[in-house]
Amino acid sequence: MVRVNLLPREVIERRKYEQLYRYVFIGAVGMVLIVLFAYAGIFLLGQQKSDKLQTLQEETKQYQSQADAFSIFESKEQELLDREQVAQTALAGRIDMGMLAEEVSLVLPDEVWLGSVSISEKDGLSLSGNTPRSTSESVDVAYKSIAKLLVRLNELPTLFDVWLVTATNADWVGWSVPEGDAVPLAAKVVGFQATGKIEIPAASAASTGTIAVPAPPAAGN
Amino acid sequence: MKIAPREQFILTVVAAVLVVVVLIAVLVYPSYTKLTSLDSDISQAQIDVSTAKSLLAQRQGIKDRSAQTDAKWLTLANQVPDNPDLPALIIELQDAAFDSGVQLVAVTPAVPTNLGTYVSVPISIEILGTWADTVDYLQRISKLSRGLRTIQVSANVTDNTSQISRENAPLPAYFEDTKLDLEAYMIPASTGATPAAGVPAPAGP
Repeated sequence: MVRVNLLPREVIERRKYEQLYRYVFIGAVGMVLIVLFAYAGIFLLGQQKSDKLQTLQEETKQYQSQADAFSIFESKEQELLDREQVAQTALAGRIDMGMLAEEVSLVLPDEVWLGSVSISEKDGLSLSGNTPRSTSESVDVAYKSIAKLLVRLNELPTLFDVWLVTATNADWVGWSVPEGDAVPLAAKVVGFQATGKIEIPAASAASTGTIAVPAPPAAGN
Repeated sequence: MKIAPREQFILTVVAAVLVVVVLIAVLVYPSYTKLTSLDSDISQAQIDVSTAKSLLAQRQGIKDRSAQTDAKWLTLANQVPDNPDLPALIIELQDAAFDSGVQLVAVTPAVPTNLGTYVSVPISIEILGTWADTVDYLQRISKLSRGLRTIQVSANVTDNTSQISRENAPLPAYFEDTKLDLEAYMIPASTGATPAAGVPAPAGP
């Protein structure tokens, strides 16, 4: 038996597309559902991440507030460090003049006495004193004593460029003596003046440096 | 206007696709963008937590050693105070003179000089005593709690016993008349302080 479709062509075509609408609808609903599920998943994930972010921010705030409460200690310590640095700058390169004076006293030969001592940061050491004069060839008198003093001064670690300014024969009248004693001391002496430069301690010494050969002092020194 | 079934179908499909695209554009894409932004915010927040934690630990350490800091402050305030603090300095100089056996003859502070971050207070003093006592005094003033710089020491032998007096102690036949140029220092509390503004200067003649 042969079936003959007598419907017009337009009707056949319309029925064909009417069947396809069902698939389009199912596909569209499926896609919408997938999109909605994706949205829901992303939304939930976003919520979780928002909660985590909030927790972290609260944690940060908590630590920050505790740290802020301790900031007074930090600023106090920082101020101390700043002031310490300024104090170090102010007190840098100090010369221990007490130690230097003691060292000079210790190396002073027994037969030499000083009339004046000047120790200056700027001008260094300046001594003037006397030593007995004699015709003896002993090493302990007159110019030899002065030479001995210069050698000893030069060996002091804090002094360099030790220099004899002058040494001349003189008549020395001693200082007055306590009441009841005899006449003031008097002697034939060699009077001398010597100078030396002082090693500046620590970093500031770099600008001064040490010179192997001592230079004579400037005129008038 | 009559539309053919084929075109109707195509239009329906296009409409359905448009609906899906609009849904993606309106719902999914902004949420996804927000999610990405949240990820970067969380990374930043974790860095912030770590930074805040380390800052807290650092300041906690500073707080723990605050007693040492206070002690250092005290030492530094004695060594280089924030004002000339002459009374304390004079007492220290006098005590050192008593301890070493020299006689303090004169103490003359000069006008403070502003040297930028700190202020120098020049002080000239004169002492009388034996050389040994003078050396002892020099050593003592270098160890005072107040930081002093000895600029110049000038000692001369003198035999003028009228200048010196000691109770119940024999006078030496001669002794040293020593002049000392010292410098004490102060760090003004405020950085803008100047000697004219913050340091009391001696009155004019």
